[in-house]
Amino acid sequence: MKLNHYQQNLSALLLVAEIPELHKLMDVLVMPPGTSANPSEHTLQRLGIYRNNVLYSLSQAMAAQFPIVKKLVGDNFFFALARDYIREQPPHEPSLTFYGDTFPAFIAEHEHCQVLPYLPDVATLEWQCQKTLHAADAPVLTTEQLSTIDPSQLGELTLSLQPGATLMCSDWPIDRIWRENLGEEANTIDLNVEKNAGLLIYRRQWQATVVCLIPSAYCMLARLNDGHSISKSWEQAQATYTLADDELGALLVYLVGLDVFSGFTLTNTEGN
Amino acid sequence: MLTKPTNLSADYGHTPIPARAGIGLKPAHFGDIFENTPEVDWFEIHPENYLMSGGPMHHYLGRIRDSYPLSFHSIGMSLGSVSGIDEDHVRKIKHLAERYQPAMISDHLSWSRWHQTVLNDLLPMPYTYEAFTLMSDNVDKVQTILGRSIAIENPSSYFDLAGAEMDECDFLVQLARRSGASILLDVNNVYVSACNHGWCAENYLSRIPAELVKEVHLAGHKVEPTEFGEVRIDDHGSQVCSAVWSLFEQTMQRIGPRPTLIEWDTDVPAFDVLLKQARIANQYIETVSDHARRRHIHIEVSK
Repeated sequence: MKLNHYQQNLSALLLVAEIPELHKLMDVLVMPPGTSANPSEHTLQRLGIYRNNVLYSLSQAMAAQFPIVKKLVGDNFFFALARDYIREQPPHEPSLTFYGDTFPAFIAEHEHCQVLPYLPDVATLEWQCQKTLHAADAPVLTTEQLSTIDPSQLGELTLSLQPGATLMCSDWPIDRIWRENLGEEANTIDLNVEKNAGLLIYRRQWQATVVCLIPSAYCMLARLNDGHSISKSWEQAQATYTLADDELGALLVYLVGLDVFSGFTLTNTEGN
Repeated sequence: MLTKPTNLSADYGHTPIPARAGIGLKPAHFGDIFENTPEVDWFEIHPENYLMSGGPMHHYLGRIRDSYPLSFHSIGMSLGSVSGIDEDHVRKIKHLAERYQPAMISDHLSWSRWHQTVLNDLLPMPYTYEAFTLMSDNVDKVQTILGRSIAIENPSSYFDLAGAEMDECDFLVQLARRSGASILLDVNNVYVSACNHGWCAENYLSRIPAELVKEVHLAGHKVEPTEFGEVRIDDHGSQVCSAVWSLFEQTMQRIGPRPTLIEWDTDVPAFDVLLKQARIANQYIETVSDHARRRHIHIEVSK
């Protein structure tokens, strides 16, 4: 048998779900010596080891990527879901660090996941944690560095966020769901009472960190992240929320204290 | 893109791996290693687990590299893929190697990718001339991109594919010779495959030329009863079994001490368990070294 034929067919055999399809494809697989031309049970059983290796190793990678989704739906359901996903969207890269980027969308479409409408957002949150955890390293901007700026110029600064830092809005209190399930004993979260969440996801001291921001802080940070200057961002936050002028200082100190900024640029002047 | 190491003092310059036992590095053991700085001669990593831009994995690996020699054992170059080498992936490994300066880079006599689909398992090659030519070309390409030679490891397998024009041992030895590569001899894999296919493990091991072996691997496997008899599954999830220790001892006696890795990838135990396995491996290696030294002294004296 030609190598091309063998590898093409074994790839298909490893990912196909249906046993009848397996039998259909088996006749192209090279038989070990001493077996008949038809797929023998012996060959099927050995093939099963490889099929299991592929699904097991990739499912374990998914479980490491989405531990809270797994906890929310239970092991059995999670591994069935992961198996469907792996068969439909196997990895394209040998490094599995970022395998599962389309899993949140897959969950959102999956008919059996519709009863947990917040599940796709929890998966997105976990995915963003993974992304930010492995993003490039950058220095942390401190309040001391900011204090070297002439106060009259402060408004003209633009601030850059840590690489991989993400702002994420959800209609569900996913940070509470996420946090409660990180612990061993989850408390009940009343979805009729708990509100939506505006989250900042970034890496702090080698760990993925999730901060639930009050709406004005979320708005301010989102504008800064879009590249607007401090005064422009503040203007937009004030236009949306009732904020006194003197609240800007406290808000900036709070945001800088999160260690989420990596540097600043003075409009027209390079700085850092 | 990978950034330059933050501590440029870390000009590791291919710190060689001693001919002693090393341990496969697991993130679960980072804490133990930093806390106790255990006496481990070297560590091995899968470069595929460190291809991200930054973050804790690089932070911790950099610290480990400051104190220990390192080897890269790839599981993703898919040297046997008929669809060729994923050059981007090999280039990423090259960048990682520039950063951490591993003493060795290795991968397997297997394939794991069909065009864009990565199967994440070490799948068996048919041992045909066609496959030999293809693998030689792929290994050449990899070595050209990396700018160095690699070691190729014998796989554990569950299929003994028909139509073979040579046996696995010949295939491996000829491939290494033709490519200027070396051999990573996995004694556990030889034993697992030999049991699964009815080969003779001793015969296989005795036919591997000593000068080609740059590294040895040891691991545990599990035995599963089936209606067709026992199958040995190479799960790297237990201690090295006595049959494999015995084959290891014979191999060390024949080829002399080699860097020897203890692999444990499923149900990863406490770090101490791995240290104990490494100590056992070192005892075998030391016995061989002593014999060799005594033989050498004897020859000197008798001259």
